[in-house]
Amino acid sequence: MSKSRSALVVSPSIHERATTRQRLLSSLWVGVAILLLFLVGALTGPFWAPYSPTLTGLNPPFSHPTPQHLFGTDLLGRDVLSRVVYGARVDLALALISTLFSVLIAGPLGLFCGYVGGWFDEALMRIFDVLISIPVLIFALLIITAAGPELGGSGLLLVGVVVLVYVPRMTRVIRASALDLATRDFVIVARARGESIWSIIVRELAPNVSGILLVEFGVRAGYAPILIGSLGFLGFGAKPPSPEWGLMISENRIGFAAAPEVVLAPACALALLVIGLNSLADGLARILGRNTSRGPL
Amino acid sequence: MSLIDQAKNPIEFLWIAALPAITLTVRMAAYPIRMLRDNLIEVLDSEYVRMAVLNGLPAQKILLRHILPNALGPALNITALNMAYVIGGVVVVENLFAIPGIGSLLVDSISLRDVPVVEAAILLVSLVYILGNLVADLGAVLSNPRIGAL
Amino acid sequence: MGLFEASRGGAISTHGSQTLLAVEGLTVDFLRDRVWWNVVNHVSFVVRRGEAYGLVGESGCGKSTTAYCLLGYHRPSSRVRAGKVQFLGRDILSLQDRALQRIRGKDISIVPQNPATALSPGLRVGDQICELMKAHARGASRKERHERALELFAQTRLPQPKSIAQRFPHELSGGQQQRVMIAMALACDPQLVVLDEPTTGLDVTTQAQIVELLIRLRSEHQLSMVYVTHNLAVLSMICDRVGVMYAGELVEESSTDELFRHPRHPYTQGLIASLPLIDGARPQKRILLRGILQRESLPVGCRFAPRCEYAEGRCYSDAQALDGITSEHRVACCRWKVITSSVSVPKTVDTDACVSTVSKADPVLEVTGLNCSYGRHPIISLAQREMSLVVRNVSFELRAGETLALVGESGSGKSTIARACVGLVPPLSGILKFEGKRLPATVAGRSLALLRKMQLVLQNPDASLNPRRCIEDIIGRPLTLYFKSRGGSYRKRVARLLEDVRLPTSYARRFPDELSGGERQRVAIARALAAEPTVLLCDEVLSALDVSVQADILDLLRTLQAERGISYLFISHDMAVVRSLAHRIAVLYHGELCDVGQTEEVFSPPFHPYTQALLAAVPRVDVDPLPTAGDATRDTV
Repeated sequence: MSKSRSALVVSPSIHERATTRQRLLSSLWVGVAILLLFLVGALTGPFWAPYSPTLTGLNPPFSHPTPQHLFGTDLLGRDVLSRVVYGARVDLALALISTLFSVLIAGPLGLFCGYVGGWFDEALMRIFDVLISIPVLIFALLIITAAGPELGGSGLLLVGVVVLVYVPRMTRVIRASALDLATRDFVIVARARGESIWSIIVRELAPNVSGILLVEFGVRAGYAPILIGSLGFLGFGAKPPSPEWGLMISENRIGFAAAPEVVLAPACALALLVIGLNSLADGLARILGRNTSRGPL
Repeated sequence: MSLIDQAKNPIEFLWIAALPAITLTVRMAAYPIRMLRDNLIEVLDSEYVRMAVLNGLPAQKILLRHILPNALGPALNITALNMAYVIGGVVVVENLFAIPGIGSLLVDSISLRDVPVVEAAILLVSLVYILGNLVADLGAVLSNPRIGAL
Repeated sequence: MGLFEASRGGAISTHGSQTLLAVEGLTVDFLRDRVWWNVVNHVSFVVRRGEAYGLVGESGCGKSTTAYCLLGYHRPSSRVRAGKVQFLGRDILSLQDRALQRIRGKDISIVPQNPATALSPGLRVGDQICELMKAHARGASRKERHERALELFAQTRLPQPKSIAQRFPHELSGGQQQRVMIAMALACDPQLVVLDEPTTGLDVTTQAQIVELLIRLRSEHQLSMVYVTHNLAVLSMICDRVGVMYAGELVEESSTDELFRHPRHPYTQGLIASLPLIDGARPQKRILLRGILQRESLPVGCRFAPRCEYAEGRCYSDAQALDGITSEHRVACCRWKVITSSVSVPKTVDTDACVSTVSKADPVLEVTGLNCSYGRHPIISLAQREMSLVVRNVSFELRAGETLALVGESGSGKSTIARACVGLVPPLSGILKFEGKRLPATVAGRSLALLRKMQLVLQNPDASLNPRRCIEDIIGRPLTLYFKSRGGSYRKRVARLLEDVRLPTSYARRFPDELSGGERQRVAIARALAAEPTVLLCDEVLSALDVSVQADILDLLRTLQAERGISYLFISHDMAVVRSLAHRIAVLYHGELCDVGQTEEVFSPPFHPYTQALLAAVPRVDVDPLPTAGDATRDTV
């Protein structure tokens, strides 16, 4: 009945937006859908991909899409579709595994640093500050080069690089949360009760950071494929004949004018994966009431 | 894609630099935009904006004097801090557009293990990053009097 | 009467005055979880020119929502389903934004509850008030506006108005911020000022000053007010007429004097009975409000029926209308004739028992020469140390089975003392003894058995329970920690503890966010009791609770003490609450003990000056004595 609204409410306020669950969930569902698509594709790929990703000479290099080669063939005559599908296994696995490891390390580390503090916390945070201040890609390159040529291109190295990039950042976030939680009354009362440090971390703090950890996982997982792809693109990541998407883009750059699909296919796949992961993270964050506008770094 | 010689006339330089610049800008703009939106929502719902409305202040006044200053601050802060990230992205862009810039220099010297060059390049990059952080901090202090008080 | 010499609105006669504001059938709903909940239900009242109308009720009763509707404002996720607000010949709720803009701040203004968040953080306060004046064309030039701002600051007793005007909001204290808000509300000479709990959240002495300021301003400017609060005592000092709200409905309305002398509605009676009396003499029989407001199961008829002693069939089914007992006194209760206001009631609580005897037993906790300070860094110089001392040379004893109250305002160091006793804050110097033996300074140095005997209960029910654990885990933790209890006997003990704090045993599997504030506080107490302690340290445990819930928990604490002989170190800023619970009182001022003694002694003259200030600052129910035959009655008939 009343038409009086705040003069400034030109669009529905956050409350109304938040209660229209449909909108909230759509970003979540889009993310879930895309991710499921990739997961299923990656896991079942070997069964239905038409060709082996390393089989060369199937068609002339950079030939256009035909019914047999839906995305055409690349510079060595390999089927691009199959390579993209197999590439999903590489990129997705690397991204998810490395982010998972990072979370598993950063979680307890962050809780410990935030709650216990002390010289360990100070020292570690200073080290992390230095690590964080080096731009990500450059840091990754340094690590890869330092690791030496024997390890080059191995999945383990790539996972290690991502972990080293993410752990400092995630630890900071968890630590900040732990610092805030430590001032809450229920933690104070627990301390007064005589609970041991570990007991407090596990029983009181951990359940309360699980939400943040989940969101962190989602947000960082969204960037991981980009990092891995960039390294592949620059030639420091996966090595040929791996079907990693970044590497594919870099290899087939030459033939871009002749057959753009060959470069676009892996590029779009990479973009789609990242969009899916980010949407998922965004949806999760909104449900849990946090914002992701800080960005992955 | 051809090699670009930076020494040619400035107009041509701008033309050539457009595409890489746009690429980087689009990439960099996403987070500040998002942050600004989130902040704006938060500020719109805040008590002091509500109070200004209840005091009968006209909408533009509220927008200009109460909302924007408080919402822009963190977004500008984030922009400056994004520098570090962009520098990483610059490497890929340089590679893609075949521009011989610091990024490529760094990548090449890393793989060649040319330590002095690596050191110099990283120092330069860090300098830019520190300056960016400084600007971000100054901006934060200016936009939020509470921080400056300390 | 201490600070409150100015009598409430005595000079303003409202008899026969014109109507300034008329609210008719206001109904507001809130949207939550995609369901519309009714928050204000057909509220109607009238405010006359020159009158101060109070809206009182506990949290969630809809009084603030009603107050904001008077300015034509409702929260974004709410709707005004019906009703009118007639002001100056127009219905505010039907006005468009432009028209509202002209009225708000100028003809009707509001003083909000939390001044810290209501002021724009990036602008100086002087600029903010000038901006308001400019928007309403008050004052022709910037200079004029600036001068008026300074004049307003002086009227609201802000020290050094020129310097204050240059400051940012975060540079002012809570009391100063609220004065600025009051100045802003008066800036354009409004016809009506709405105040939404303006003193909640301020220190008790600051509160007293603001209330006194409001009384004075009101008589100086002949202001008409709508004053929303949950504090009946403050209300009695300022308001001429009062409307009592419960669950969104206006259940009783009358002049202030009449309301306190003859409350008719059972809820009003319960509310008044829950007031802790500071003046000692207590009625022999009192009713306490039982139960809590369950929004999901409100009856169609009287919303108070589920908690009412007198409810019968038709109370639940028939909507209660506000009927007039007299032309000035209306009540929404179909049984008001049956309920007499001087009480002879089915349920009585004997409140006299516990507090009279003072224990002669041995001291359980002894504190001697305690000094504490903030900060982790080692204090180097003597001067630095002096400056940063939060607790200075405090000594006291707590004996078995008694309650010692530590009273003081915020910043007086009382919480620090509690934490030092528990071992969370190692003292700079001083001796702590428990049951005759020296206490190690920190928790780490104490044995589990020792830690068990002293338990801590904190203020904020929202923060004192782990939101991710169920009630059984929360209460049962001390059982597993101290007694290694498990399995069937563990569950039984938890159930018994829930019963002890008068909570249903089905709560064991619930989570804290499903409980109300009072219930959470009970859970916190149950958790402390689970350890079977000798001493319970209660740090402002009642401060965040509604008045009727406070009364309930006070009662619970007294019973527990009588049954189990636990000693309480009870920290509070509220002298009235403390009076009804404590055997002995210690008053703290800036970290030093300035007055210690038995309750009766502390509360009777001769007073220590600070104790006197604290006592004077407590708002007392200010009701005129019943007129004797020869007196002419004042304002209203």
